[in-house]
Amino acid sequence: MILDTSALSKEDGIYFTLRNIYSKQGYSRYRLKKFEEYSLYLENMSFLPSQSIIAFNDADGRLIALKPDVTLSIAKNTKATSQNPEKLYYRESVYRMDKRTREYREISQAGIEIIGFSDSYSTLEVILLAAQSLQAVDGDFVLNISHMGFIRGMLSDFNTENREIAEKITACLSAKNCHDLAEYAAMAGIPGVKINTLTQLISSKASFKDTIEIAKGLISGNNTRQAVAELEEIYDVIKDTPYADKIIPDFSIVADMSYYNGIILRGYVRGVPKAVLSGGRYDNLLARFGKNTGAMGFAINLSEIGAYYSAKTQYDADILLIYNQSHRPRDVLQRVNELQKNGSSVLALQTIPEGKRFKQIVYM
Amino acid sequence: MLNIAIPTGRLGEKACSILNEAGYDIGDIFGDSRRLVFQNQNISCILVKPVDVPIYVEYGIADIGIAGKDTLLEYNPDVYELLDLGIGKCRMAVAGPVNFTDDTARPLKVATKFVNITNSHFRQKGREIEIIKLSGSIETAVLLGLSDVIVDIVETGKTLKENGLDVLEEIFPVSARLISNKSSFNFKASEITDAVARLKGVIENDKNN
Repeated sequence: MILDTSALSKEDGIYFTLRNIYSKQGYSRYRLKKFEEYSLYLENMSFLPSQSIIAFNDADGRLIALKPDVTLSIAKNTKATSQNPEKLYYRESVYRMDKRTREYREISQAGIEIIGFSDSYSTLEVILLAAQSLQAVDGDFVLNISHMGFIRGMLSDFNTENREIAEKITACLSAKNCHDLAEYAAMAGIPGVKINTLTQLISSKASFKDTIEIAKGLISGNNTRQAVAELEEIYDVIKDTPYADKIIPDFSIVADMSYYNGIILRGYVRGVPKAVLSGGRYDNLLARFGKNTGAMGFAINLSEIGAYYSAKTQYDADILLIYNQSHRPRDVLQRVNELQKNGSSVLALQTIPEGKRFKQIVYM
Repeated sequence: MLNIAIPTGRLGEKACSILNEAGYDIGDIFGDSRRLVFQNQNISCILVKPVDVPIYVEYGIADIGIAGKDTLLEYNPDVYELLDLGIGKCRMAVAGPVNFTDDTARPLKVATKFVNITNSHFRQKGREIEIIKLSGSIETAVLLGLSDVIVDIVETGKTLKENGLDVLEEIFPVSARLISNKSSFNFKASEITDAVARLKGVIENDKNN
């Protein structure tokens, strides 16, 4: 059977392509239950993008929730270890509250997770799969890459013991807010040279190579040195791929340090105002479930993409076939089949519907 | 081309003159015309209500915008805050009768437009409050006995004084900020960083004169 992907909605069409990309790389499909125990989310509230969760009681009185996130469920349920690692892909619905409308939305997500891996190759594979996934959405994309080891190392090198100020500095980083950053950094006693480098690092959109050179100015401890080395290793490979100029470091991307520890990813496509891809390395999350191994992954927000690429055509159907009670069902069926032969879509009705458009109207 | 959301009102007029000084040649877009969208070869301007600027930017209709720190803290939009423009300076403050004493035996009644800011301020202080959300003329709430105090932006404090009120506590200083959509920052990087540099030049020039 030949599947006509042009007839699929943008969401389904993209998922179709993504599934091919992931399974070609040896990833297997993972299915999740729609529900999890509410306590899973309660204990990991700061991991979730929205704090409101649809919860209800099951027959035994346990509090159950409609899942607002996929990664937490996989991290909790996986049996994978370093000896027995897993590479998975999924397509699932998650339920989150919209910040502005205060209404729950069902969001369709597709993504991958690799569990039991901490080597450089697997990190690189995830980054390149993220780039390929964005390419499947739209050729005009940017994949931003950041490193939590670098951010964490930098903050500890700054010796900011005041947690409140450290939090404010992180908030300024993620808003690319250089004016307030300078003020808080000065309060924390961070040397002026370092503040200038940090400001330069988050405010410019330079190439991968140049950004790493700027970042080198902030190396002082082991964490920052290792992080920069890892980024250099990644750059060394991706510079020879078709995605060389589309993967760009951006150290304003900050994720919760109690879950994420290494590379962080955010992907954008032109014309969609919010990030359509996000993910990263989350060894720390696995550690919270007592699993001592590496894990990384990303999710693509198919609903967000679908909202900006309308697949709606000018017509509701190519041909409207009008029949009435006097026609025999057999004849109508035969006529529909005839009209469909050259690939047209045919809607058979007894009356002309209001507010719909057709290329052609045919009467029996 | 860059799309910029400009707030209507006094802040917008100041923003306009800074954009003109930065060489965007938008002229007097608040003049006699009632047009809400204005475009020349440099930039496309959308005139919207001040509180709506972050929404237009977050949803990507505008690539950049000019918004007060007060609206940014109240609505917490997912945008970049690239520059402190140093215009529209004022303070977010708690204000009340000149000789106000707090009766801690009951919740404090607070009238405000800024529900989130008010909630988080009093939560930090551990004071139980009852919020009354209003849309304007907040001062009258205390005068007419609707609330004990108000939380609002205060520029000179003149309106407060004329109504027998005074600033009881400052919460944070406010000024206008240049914000940017996170996706646009990737796809219009050079135009946006150029705008930041040009506006920064104007601000620093004004500071030195």
